[in-house]
Amino acid sequence: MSRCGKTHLLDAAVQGELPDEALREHAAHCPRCRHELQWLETERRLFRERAARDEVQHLWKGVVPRVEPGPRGRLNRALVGVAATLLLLLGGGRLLLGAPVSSAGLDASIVAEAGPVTEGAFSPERGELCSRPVEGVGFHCGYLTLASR
Amino acid sequence: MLRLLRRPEPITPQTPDEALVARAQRGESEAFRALFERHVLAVRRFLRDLIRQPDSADDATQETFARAHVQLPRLGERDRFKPWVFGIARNVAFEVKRVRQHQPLESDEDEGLPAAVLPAPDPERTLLDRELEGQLSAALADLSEPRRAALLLRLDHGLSYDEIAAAMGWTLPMVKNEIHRARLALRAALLPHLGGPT
Repeated sequence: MSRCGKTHLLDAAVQGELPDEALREHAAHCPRCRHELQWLETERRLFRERAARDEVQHLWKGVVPRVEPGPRGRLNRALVGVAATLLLLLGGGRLLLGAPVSSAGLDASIVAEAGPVTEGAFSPERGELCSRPVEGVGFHCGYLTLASR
Repeated sequence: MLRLLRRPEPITPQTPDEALVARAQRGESEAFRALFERHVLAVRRFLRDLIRQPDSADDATQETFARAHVQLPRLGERDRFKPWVFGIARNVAFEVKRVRQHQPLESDEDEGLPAAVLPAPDPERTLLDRELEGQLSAALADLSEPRRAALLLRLDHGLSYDEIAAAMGWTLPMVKNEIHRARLALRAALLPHLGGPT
């Protein structure tokens, strides 16, 4: 069989990487290309039939413990989700009740009334609920402790 | 906020690998599962052909996808998942074979290429029965591992020569040469079973 400059293109045509219509037409009249095309199509058919017999459903079970979070991971995700939902609900509730909110997200009425967190602002002499602890760090305000600089 | 609450696009057979990789990189386990389901058959078959022990091939397949999951965030070319995962599979196969040191080393020598052009196969006799499948497996097994891997990536898994070069770490001319030689050897081995003229 004489050489042909198109034979090497047949592989790409059979694989769908090149348009194959013109090449197949050429192969019908070119012995070398017809021969190569027969082999290429035979190989393709054999490998396709072989592939069709595979069964791999069981394999995911071996992969899943390594790629998906376990029960603890799922629990953590669920807890984060619940916490986020609660925060959203609380924020939404405050908005619905009409409490003024400053740009920094603080309750403006409380800030205006209490002023900055200093010893004077929370002195027991002013009759407020806050008091200086014995250890001298921060203030007790009811059940809260506020730290000062 | 709306982006967080929006439901993800459903995954369909038409969803391209590129989109699945992007979603898997963002932590969507369903997207990775879809990539697994799309490619596991081919990867397992590839590993079975390289390792030639079904149980080891199953373990190697699972190892391949577990590694792919770990390394996925570093995959830049998202549209090249297939050659990338085959590259991982080949490394896993190499490690499995290295552990099995009692196996005889395969020769990288030429597998006795036929000098003349082979006759064409008889189309009537190319249906794959068990006997022919056995011959095909034996013919593949006779190839050196790198040559077999390259041939399988082309014939069985449809990778382009560029993709094979990337998966194997070879130059393009080397890929073409190795596949050509592997093909000739495979055809010579199969010809007596395909009933072509002698």
